[in-house]
Amino acid sequence: MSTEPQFDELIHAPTRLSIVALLAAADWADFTFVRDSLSLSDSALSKQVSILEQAGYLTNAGRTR
Amino acid sequence: MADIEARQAQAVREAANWRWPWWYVAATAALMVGISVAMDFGRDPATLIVVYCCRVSLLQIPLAARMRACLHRSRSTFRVNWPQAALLLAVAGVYLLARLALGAVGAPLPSTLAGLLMAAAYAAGRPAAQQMTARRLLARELPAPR
Repeated sequence: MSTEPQFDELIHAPTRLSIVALLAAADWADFTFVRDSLSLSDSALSKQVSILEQAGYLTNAGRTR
Repeated sequence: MADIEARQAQAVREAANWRWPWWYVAATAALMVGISVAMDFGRDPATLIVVYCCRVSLLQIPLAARMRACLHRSRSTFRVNWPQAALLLAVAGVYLLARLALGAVGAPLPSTLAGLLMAAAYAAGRPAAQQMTARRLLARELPAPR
């Protein structure tokens, strides 16, 4: 069974890539910190976090990991 | 790539700019003095040490709630955080030396006086330890300017 690396289109969107890049440095980050750092609205960040969470890139437990 | 590095630097800066809140420093210093006073009045030192550790642990709960970003452990190593450990060892040294010296000269309430010195050393040293940690973190984690 081959496990060739594949390009994930989901993470290519600039906003999602920024979120993942920011969180890559951290063990966890507060929602407000991510929102303020990326100049996003609550709803926009919530939407992107949900998408990333569904794809398994992060977990949202009040704090975003 | 530059944008990814910039985002990671934001998280590092957030962690480096975090400051220990005044109420935590004040509560810890008050706890140091309280335990020292109790030792002068013949309380069991082992019990007091347990009480101290429990109270300090309790203070960590509201402390963690104030942080907005916690760096990954690989970025927050002992090489970065050693000033915090050095501060605690230094204040313990201040207490022990002061208590020994005050006991030797027969001063009244030697533990209380040593505790006051220890609390003052802690309150004075906390900002310096914090600055040293932040400087080391930024130097280690932020990319060099191009």
